[in-house]
Amino acid sequence: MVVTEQATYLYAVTGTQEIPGLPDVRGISAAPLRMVGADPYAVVSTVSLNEFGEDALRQNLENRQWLEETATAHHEVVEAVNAAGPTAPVRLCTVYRDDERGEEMLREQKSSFQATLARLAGRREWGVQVFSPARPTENQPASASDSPGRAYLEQLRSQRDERASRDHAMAARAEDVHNSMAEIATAARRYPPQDRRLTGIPDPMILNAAYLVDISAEPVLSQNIAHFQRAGLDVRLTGPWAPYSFVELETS
Amino acid sequence: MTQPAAARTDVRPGSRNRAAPAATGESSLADILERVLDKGIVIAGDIQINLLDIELLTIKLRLLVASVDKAKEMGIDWWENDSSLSSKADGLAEENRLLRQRVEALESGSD
Repeated sequence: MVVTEQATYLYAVTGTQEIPGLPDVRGISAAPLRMVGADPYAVVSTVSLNEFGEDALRQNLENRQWLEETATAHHEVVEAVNAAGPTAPVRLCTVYRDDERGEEMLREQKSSFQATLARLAGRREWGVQVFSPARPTENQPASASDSPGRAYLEQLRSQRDERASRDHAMAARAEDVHNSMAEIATAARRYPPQDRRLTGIPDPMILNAAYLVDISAEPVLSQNIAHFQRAGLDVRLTGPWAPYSFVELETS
Repeated sequence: MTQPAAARTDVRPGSRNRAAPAATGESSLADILERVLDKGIVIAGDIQINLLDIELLTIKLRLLVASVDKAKEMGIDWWENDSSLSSKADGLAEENRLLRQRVEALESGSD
């Protein structure tokens, strides 16, 4: 069988054909973007099978620079599409043999996509992260014990207990943030906290969550975050995001 | 209208601050990777990649990607010489665990 050299890379599915920002954005490898299908539409570009064939893909995904560039290009296209209306971002590296195969999938999943897109209308995804300040524990006064070794161990123990109770208190405050956000949001999803090496922030992340919020409720979201920040909590808001975290296809 | 204080690390001028009531700065690469790799609609393409591979990859990413420059500033660069990525971290955790056990044994022994 002759393998075609090129394939169709799918970025996002949307209900609108009018995407004003699209001509200004390029896809992966700076390829021009186009739309296929008919309500729902998909935004696609042509990619090379030398890069996106199964074996090549497996290798490329392990290449950090390739992955960063591909992920960034993917994300920028999704952002441009999302700016024009309800959008379902598609998982990275969803590739079809050609446009027709992509259109076939859109036809097959038409009602699921439409239900999902309808649910997203008028809502945006926000990310919330809470960090726990890693305050150094103050030195305890040496205990009355005669043994310096024993005094040292006691100090270690009290520091450990103190740290444990502080961690406990911080976790409870992170839960407060999450619960209050979940009340404002129409849907909530928690991620595992990011590793410190990934955030580049020395304080450990103790809450990493995404919320789908009605645009009309965004002022309340703002006030809620500000409330926790005023109380001294290190709460960070990211977004608005395309609704990456809230796009499982509705099954009818 | 109150604007929440923008996040420390992701404040960069000119991003999506327009009219959003609760906007902050640009998102970090870590946040983007988390979403494009872990989230988004999963639909069957013609080129199948094993999702398990992606998950393993994501675990590796949690350990090393993102603010590499920042990490280097902090003196974290062990991955550059370490082909097995997580093995050293696991070793440290194990070493810590053993040390803690010894401390506990000493503590109870001294009573």
